[in-house]
Amino acid sequence: MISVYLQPDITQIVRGRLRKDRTLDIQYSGMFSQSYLQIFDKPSNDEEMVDDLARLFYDVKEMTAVKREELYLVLPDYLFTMVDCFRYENDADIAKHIVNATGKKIEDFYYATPIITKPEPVEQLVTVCAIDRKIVDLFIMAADMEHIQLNSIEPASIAFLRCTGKFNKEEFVFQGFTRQATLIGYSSIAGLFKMDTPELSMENLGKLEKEEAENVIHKALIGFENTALSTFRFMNQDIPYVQLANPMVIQSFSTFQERLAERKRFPEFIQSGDIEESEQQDWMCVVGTLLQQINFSNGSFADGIDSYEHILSGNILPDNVQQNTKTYQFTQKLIRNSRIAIVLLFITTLIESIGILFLSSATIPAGLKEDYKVGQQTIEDINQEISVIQLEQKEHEYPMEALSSLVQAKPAGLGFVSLNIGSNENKAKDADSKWIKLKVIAADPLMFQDYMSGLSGDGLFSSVAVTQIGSDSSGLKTADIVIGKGNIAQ
Amino acid sequence: MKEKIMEYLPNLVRQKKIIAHIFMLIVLIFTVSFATSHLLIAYHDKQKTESEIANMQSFLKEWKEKSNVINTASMRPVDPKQLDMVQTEILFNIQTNHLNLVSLKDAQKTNQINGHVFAVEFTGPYDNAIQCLQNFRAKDALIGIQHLNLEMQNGMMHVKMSYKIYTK
Repeated sequence: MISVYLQPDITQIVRGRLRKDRTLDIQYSGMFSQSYLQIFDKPSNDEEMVDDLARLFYDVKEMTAVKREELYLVLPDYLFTMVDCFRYENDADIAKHIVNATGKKIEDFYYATPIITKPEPVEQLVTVCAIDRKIVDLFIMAADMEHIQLNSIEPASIAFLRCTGKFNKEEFVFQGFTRQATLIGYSSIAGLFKMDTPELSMENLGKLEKEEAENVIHKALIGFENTALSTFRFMNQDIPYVQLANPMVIQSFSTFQERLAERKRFPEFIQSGDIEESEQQDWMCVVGTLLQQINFSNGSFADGIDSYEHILSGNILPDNVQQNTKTYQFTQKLIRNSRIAIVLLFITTLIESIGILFLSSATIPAGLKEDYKVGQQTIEDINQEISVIQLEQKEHEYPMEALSSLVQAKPAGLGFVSLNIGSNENKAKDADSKWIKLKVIAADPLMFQDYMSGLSGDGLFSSVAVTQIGSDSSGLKTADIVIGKGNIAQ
Repeated sequence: MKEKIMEYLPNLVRQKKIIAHIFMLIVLIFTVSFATSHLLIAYHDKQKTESEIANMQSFLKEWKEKSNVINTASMRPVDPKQLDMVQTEILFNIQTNHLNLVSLKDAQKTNQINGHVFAVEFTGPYDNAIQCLQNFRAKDALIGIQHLNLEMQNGMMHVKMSYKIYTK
C-alpha cells in the first residue's frame, strides 16, 4: 500500500504493509520538495489540470519503483469544503446540512462520514467531510491515465486522528502552510470539525509586525475555541495545539509556543521503519490513512475509544471508483494466487513425470526371464528325481556296510552259518528292529558273548540280541542273533 | 467466497488475463490429476515387477540348489527304457566274478513305485561273492538292495537278494 499526502509545499510518500496481526509495517518513506496542489490555486482547463496531476502519479511510480499499486491519497483539510460534526437522525439530514452550509447542490460534492458518535441514547452526531466533486474527478482521471488504482482520498485531519490510535480525548490541531492554514478540533463526544484560518498562513503572518501577528493568532484561536465550545457543548480549557506547520513559524510566535502540545509519536502497532521518533508527528497524516481497514472498536484498540464512538473511513471516492478498486484488488489477488498455483502445479507435473519415467524403467531383465522359463520347464523333473533319490535312501538296506561291520567285529574261532539283511516285507512294523538275522557257530559259547559285546559298541546297530543257542550235528554251538538298525549315516 | 466471486464475476470475465489464468489452472489441474493417477499405476506396477523379480530369483536359487543336488549325486534314477541295459550290466558283474547264476526273476509288486524290483540267486566262492556284492552297480544307475541272504552250503556261498532299480 502506498499513501501520498499532498501539501501545498511538499509531498510525502509512505509505503507500508498491514499485517494480519493488525500492525502496520512502514517499508519506505520519502518526500518531494514539490507541490502538486498549485493547480487548484489558479484553476485552468480540465485537461491541463489532469496532465499536471498525472505528473504526480508518474513521479510517485518513479520514486517507489512500482508500476501498478493501490494508492491512498491524503489532502489537506483546507481543500475540503466542509469538515464538520452535527446532530442528525438519518442520511437525508447529512445532505440537507451540506446544502444549507454551502449553499450549493448536493450533487456538487462527494462526502464521507468518518466518525459517528452517540453519547446520549437519543442523540446521534456525525462528522462529515465534503469536497468539491471536480477536485476528486480530476484526481480520478489523472490516476486512470497513469494506470494507478485509487483506493482512497481522505482529509488529513481524520488520517492524523486515526494514526494517534487514541480517540477518547479532546484535541486541537493546527495545519499551517505558506498560503493556507486550518484549525481542527476533535472531541470524542461530538467528532471533528475544521475552521479555515488563512490569516494564520506563513505568508500572512510574515507580512505583519510581530505584535500584530500575535494578536491575529490570539483572535483566531479565541474564535476557534468559541466555535469548538458551541459545537462540542462541553470542552476542557486551554487544550494544547498539535502543530502541523513549519517549526520556524511556531518558534517565532509566543502564542503558538504557549499552546504547543507535546509532540506525538506512533502508537505501538506501527513499525516506524526509517522514520525518526522526533519526526513521527510530521508523518502521521500520511501514515494514518493506511489504517482504514482497522476496526478500532474491537480487540486490543478498544481501550483507546469510547463505546459510543465509531471511527470509520473518511474516503470520499465515489462508490463506482471504490468498487473498481475492490475489483482490481480482488483480480490482482486472484492473479497472484493463480500464478503461485500454476507454478506449483507445473512443478508437481514435472516431478510426477520424472517419477513416472523412473518407475516405468523397472522391468524384468531378459536373462532372468529366460532362466526362469528354463527353470519352470525342468523343475518338475528335478523334483521328481530328488524324491526318487530320497525314496532310495529310505528303502536301501545298506547290506555291504552291515556285512563289513559284522566281519570286522567277528572274533577268530567264530564262523557265520547264515546272514539275512533286510526284509522282503517292506511294510513290516518291526523291520528296523530285526534288520539283520545272523546265525553263527563256535566251539566255545562264550565267543558269542564277546561277539555281541563287539557289535553293541558299533553305532550302526541299535540292538543286538541272541534269540536261540543250540548245537549242530558235529557238536559245535550255534547262536541265532537279531540286530536292529542304528545310525546308518555314521 | 462464493458471494464475493459472484459479485466480481461480471468484471472478471471481461479480463482476458484472468480467463487465461483460469484456463491454465484447469489444464494444469487436469494434467496433475492425470499424472498422479499414472504415477500411482507406475508405482503399483514397479512394486509388482519387483515382487516378480524377487520371486523369480528365489525360485532360481532353489532351482540351482536342487540341480546341484542332482548333478553331484553319484547315482541317479534311470530312464525306464534303460532297465534292460542295467540288468545286463548286473549279470555281467556276476559273470565276471565266476559266480553261478541260479535264478533271476521279476519281483515287482503292485505297491512298488519309482522303480522295478528284481530277485537274483547265485552261488560261488566266498571271496568272489563278496567281490560281486561290493561292485553291485551299473555305471551311475541308482540301485538299492532291499534284502540280502547269505548262506554257506558245501563250502560255497549261496546268495539270495532282491534289489530295486530306481527309475525317473
